[in-house]
Amino acid sequence: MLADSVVVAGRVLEELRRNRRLLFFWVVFPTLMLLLFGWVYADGYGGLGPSFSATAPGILIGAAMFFSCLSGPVALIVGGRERRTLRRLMASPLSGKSYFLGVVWAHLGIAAGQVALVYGITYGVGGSFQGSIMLGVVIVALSAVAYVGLGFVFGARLARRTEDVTGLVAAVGVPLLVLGGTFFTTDMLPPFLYAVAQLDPIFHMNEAFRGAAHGDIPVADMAGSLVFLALFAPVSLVLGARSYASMLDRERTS
Amino acid sequence: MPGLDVSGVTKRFGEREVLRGLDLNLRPGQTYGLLGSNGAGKTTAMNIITGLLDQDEGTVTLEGAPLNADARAVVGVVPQEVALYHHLTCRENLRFFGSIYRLRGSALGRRVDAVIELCQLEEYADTPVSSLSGGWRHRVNIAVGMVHQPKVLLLDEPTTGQDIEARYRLWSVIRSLRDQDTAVLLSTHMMEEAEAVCDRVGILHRGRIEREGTLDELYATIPAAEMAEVETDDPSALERRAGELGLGLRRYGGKLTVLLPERSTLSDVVARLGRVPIRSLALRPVGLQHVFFDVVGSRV
Repeated sequence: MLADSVVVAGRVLEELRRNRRLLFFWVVFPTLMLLLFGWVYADGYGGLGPSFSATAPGILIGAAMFFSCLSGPVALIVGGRERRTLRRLMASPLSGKSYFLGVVWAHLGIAAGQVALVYGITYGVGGSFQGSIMLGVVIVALSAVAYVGLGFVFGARLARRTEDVTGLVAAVGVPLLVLGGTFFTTDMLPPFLYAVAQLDPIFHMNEAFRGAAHGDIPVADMAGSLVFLALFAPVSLVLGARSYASMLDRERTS
Repeated sequence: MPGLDVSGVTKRFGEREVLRGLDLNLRPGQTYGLLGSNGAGKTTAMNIITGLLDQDEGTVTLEGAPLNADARAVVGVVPQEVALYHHLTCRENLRFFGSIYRLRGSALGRRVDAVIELCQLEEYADTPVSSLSGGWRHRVNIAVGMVHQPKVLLLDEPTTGQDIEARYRLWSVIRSLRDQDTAVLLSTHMMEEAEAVCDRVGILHRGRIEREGTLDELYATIPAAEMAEVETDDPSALERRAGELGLGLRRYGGKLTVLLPERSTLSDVVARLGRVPIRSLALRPVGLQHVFFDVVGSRV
């Protein structure tokens, strides 16, 4: 299963490498968001370096990885259904579990690429990641896994056609991004919205990674978000796997 | 010799029984044509054999064992629609599908090269599928089904929508698979295709194989040595005259056809038909289309 999943991951990454337009957007979007918000908040933070350091976590987790690791699996599933490649795979010895795992590996690789992009720019303007790199890696990995799981739920249950993907991501995802404090710190939220935001997984991803990136925040202060994320990521993965399995059953009987 | 065996397969969609006890045997090196009109149950049969659908009753076995996920490693599937990754090149598609059929390393490379050569894909091997024309995509679609050198190759109407040159090329590839002992199950509604490549043909009608055999065995089920297709303004006169002569008269695909018990010349047929007003007359050998229409019921 592991070898097959690596083959699937290689195929997803190779296809992304060849899909220059998508790759371009996945690079341009977080780059522009980071440059814009880093610039907007520069006065408040006392310079570009500190501003980019503070802005980078939200842009990485809430913007870059949201669009790649969540909408990526949705597009893969919908595209596979439309182009009939999923049915071809179903007739092969490749198991659904291997395919699922392969997509997870691929998106962990994509997340690593986006970390390099966002922090490459951040370091380029004098910013930095000041906390525990190990903790940062764990949070990025858990966030990527959580997004991929949700992507499978959306792709397998909600999006029937390619054109549904954009609408679904815009309607469900963008409000979660805003509420999750992707583009501003959540202490700007009014009390009611702050309470609602506690239910938003992106809020906890952002809070946990901001805490890890800052360096001076004790782990206990972000323990709630870390626990939420540590529980949410496997739950999301299981839900995604089950949604995908039931979609394959539906495809098989259609 | 062991091969693919489909026995008593039944499939219902709600109240509708699409397959009614389908039996089919496919031996190594044999090309079997599953011939049927639209809605006859061909695609349902192919989907059950490929494991995409579960049958309600009956069994599908390969070399005596159930056709489970492991057994599917030796089965190649070519779906009717092009099912490829469009951003990848032909070679990358072949490498990916070869890999999921458990080919690795140099064995994978050799098979990819071999199938590129077999399907004459050299010119576009490193071109993304999205840049290819429909005909070339179909060719890659077929190559992908053969990359792991399957023991059984299932082709679901593979030449639908392809030009005549592409069809001939595929038929040549299918014929070459015989030498490699590959068993081929070809679902088609094209008589010409079945006659060009199949050793055995089963005519699927209303969910079961109604007639089956080699081409010669099937032709022998038509009580004629030759067929005279007659175009006339007075079909009833032709019917009367055929009756007087004791000749069979059938309508094959809209054409009134007199069944001749021995080979004849045009002038002989014209003379025998006497006063029947003939607009055109053609003599043809017995073909699969006659057997097919005989099975699906298109008599005068």
